Amino acid sequence: MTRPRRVRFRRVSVFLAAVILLSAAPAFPSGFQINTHGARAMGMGLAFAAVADDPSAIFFNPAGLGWQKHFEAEIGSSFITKVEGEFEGANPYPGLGREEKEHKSTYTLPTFYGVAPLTSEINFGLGIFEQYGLAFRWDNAEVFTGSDATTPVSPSSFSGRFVSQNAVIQSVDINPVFSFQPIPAFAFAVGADVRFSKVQLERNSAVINPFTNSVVDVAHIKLNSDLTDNHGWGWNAGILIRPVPQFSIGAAYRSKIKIDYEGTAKFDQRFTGNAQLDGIVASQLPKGEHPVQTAIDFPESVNLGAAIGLPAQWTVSLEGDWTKWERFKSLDIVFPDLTGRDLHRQQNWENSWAYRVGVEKKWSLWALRFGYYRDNTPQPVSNAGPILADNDRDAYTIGVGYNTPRWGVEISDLYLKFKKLDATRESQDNFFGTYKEAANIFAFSLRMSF
Amino acid sequence: MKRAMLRAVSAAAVLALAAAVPAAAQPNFSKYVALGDSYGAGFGAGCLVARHQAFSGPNILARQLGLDFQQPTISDPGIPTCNALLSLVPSVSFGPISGKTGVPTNALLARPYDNLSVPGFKIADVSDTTSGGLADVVLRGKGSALNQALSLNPTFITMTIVGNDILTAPGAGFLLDGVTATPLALFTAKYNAVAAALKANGRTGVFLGTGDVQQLPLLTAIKPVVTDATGTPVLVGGQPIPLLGPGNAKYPCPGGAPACPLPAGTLVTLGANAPQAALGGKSLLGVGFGIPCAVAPTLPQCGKPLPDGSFTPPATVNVGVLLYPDEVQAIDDRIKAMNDVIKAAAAANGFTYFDTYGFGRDHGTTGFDFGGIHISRDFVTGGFFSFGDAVHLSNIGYTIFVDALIQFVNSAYGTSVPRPDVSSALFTPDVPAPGTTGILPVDTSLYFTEDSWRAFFEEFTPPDPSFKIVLPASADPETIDRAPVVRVPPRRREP
Repeated sequence: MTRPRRVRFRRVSVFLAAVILLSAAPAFPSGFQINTHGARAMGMGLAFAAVADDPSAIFFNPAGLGWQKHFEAEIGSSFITKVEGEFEGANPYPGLGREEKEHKSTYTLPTFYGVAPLTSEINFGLGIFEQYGLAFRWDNAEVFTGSDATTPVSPSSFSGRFVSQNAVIQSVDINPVFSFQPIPAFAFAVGADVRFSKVQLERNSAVINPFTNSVVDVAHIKLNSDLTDNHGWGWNAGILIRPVPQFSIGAAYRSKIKIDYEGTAKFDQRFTGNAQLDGIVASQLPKGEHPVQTAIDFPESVNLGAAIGLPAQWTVSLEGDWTKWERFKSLDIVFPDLTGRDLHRQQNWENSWAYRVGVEKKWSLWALRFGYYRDNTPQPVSNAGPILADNDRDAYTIGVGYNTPRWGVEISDLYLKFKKLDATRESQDNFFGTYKEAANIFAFSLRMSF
Repeated sequence: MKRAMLRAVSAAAVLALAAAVPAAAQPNFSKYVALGDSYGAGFGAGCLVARHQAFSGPNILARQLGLDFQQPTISDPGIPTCNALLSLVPSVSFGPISGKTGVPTNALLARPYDNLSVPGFKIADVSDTTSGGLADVVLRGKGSALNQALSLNPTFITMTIVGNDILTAPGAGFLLDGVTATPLALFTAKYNAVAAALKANGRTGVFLGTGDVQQLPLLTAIKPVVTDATGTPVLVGGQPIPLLGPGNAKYPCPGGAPACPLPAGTLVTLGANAPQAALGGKSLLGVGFGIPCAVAPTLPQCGKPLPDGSFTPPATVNVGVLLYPDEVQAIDDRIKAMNDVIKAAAAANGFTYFDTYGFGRDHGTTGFDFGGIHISRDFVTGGFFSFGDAVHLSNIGYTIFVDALIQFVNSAYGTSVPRPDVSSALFTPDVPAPGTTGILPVDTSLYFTEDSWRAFFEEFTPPDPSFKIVLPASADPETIDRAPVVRVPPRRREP
């Protein structure tokens, strides 16, 4: 009974791959939630739940589809670039003066939205986006193997490699929604959300070399799951009230989605140069690929916003977003056919709020936007580590748009500055230090109306 | 509103309470001197050597305080000659790294060393001993450790006398005052006298308590049940098979049988696994002592009990390899009593007390994790203890230990002494300096050698050094009754 369904999902995923270039995103929004899925919204600091007047409303508040009376399609993408990602170590580990750098590259997050009016009151929308993603990768993450038992580990090797060298969560949400506008001043919407996701974790394993009483790398462990085999279901809803054209309030909700992952684990030996030790490690290291299981409870979220139109075509939008991150209590990685290798990492995240404000000024077909938001981290300081180090952050945005009734183009940019994360006194990994991070996100979108 | 008021009142009460608790006097770290034993000296792998002394607790603490701190450093291959792991396969073997010994490299220092810790020292030695063994290297004929320490006019002192007054007991398998342990009354008198001598206005420091010997590989490496070659307990009907012992007064063998299963809670010392010349190079377990014949009928001594320790007057210590639960309890009670003495002496003389026993209990089974690196007390592979050493710490172990001590100092005194860099110990190979080794032919013994066993009693001598130490082996392997007598010289008194 399950086999046909799996085949169907594989076809869907092939379709997705053809439509968008899937890539993981660094954990720049709160936790590993990503909201930069509309260039116009991003220009307004993502305070868009009460605006929601373009196809990206499917993501921000699907009730906004109620006011969209044409077939419309919007494609876009945001490009996230880490501009700062540094770690300075502290005692007792990895030690004062130890510096590490997060891997810097640009991550692409494509989006697609389509809106189809079915009746004068009912619209259908389809959105494809990545609401949750993580790519926390470190430079010099791979290890120096050494040539003999007395060779110290290369100082260029990442000191947190025994916790995590590379942590990746990728996801694709396919979000069909229906909106209903019973009266001109009010609309609501309900949708389904199927999320495909994969996780990947890499780290090294250490032992004490008993010939030197010092630490050596003996294995590289890579856990990987397949995107098409792991998915979960949820739903979303929204309401938008616009009693007069100059004022609106909106609320959007996305449910939790739990995904049980099944993947494979591979153990590659790293040789120390000591034949006796290497022989013993080889005899104990699992051979080939082994099944591995984990699960993530992606949290539900609520967005509450209000927008007011002012004279001279100014619009001001305010929003508060709440995410129930307390669902992320632990990361449990289970090896069903291996004993003693399960990993249980307490997360104990806390619910978080983000506060957003956006401003838009229009001149005929042109629009200029500014925004700011403060996003509070759900991650306790003690939980920060090589697998993910998150902190409160401030974002400053600017955007420009040109829109005709038939098409429109939007570009925007967001600069994200993290508060310096001081984990010099508490770390559940006993990996002490400070993290400094900043990122820039550029986004564009093209809208066609039919 | 009520809740908010309640919170405010509670917070105020906590603050008031905190203010009411008298904080320990703010220490003056300008002149730090360490008294102690092998743990204070940085002894490990059977030797005192500079590459271990660099990681001694006092040296790390002084480094974190930014002090000039002089130690009696010794070059490779150490005094006595250091041991190292020689092979993992076909068997785990340790041996000396050279046929030579090292030499003192800081002997010309005109003043006393800042680290006056002497391996083997009991509390009485701190004030009474001036020479002999490694005391000659550390004290250099300049008087007792106590007097030299006082001559430096220290403002901050640590005293790391953490085990020599009791460790002979678990090593020999029985607790007997004056034979395998310092009598508590004598310990009390000596500790109080030393503590009183250290008392001075403006001087403070930390007295470290005696550790929990049940956390040492000496008592944890051998399980009290039959195991296979990998150390995994052999199960019959899902149950492990206890090793056999002779019973004792509290746990006699039923019907006067010569051997019976060890009761739960019995500890077996590493001596049971030490190959002995008298047993043809095999260990007690290796020839079948303690193993039921139903499990291993081909072993020549199967069905016979592992030996318990005893004392034969006037001066013979018959070393055993068992600590029955009542003996474990007696030793534990003694350690707690000794720690009560140390705690009281600290409080009475302006010092604070560090709970070494609690530190061991808290981390003994869980170990330590740093950035995904796990350090445990496991013998050979755990990293916390040094090469083939059943008692002393590795460079990693000493660094972790002093990290806990520094956190304690900061908590007790409200100071902010920086924690040490454990990574320097984790990633620095503990290997001899180039050109200082000359490893002798490999002693293919398993784990704990007869030499290691004897060296243990050289380090942890009975209160009366004239006592004879008798290891439980015989020229006639059919019986352990006629064990050879080994007179152990007090090595620490012979440089």
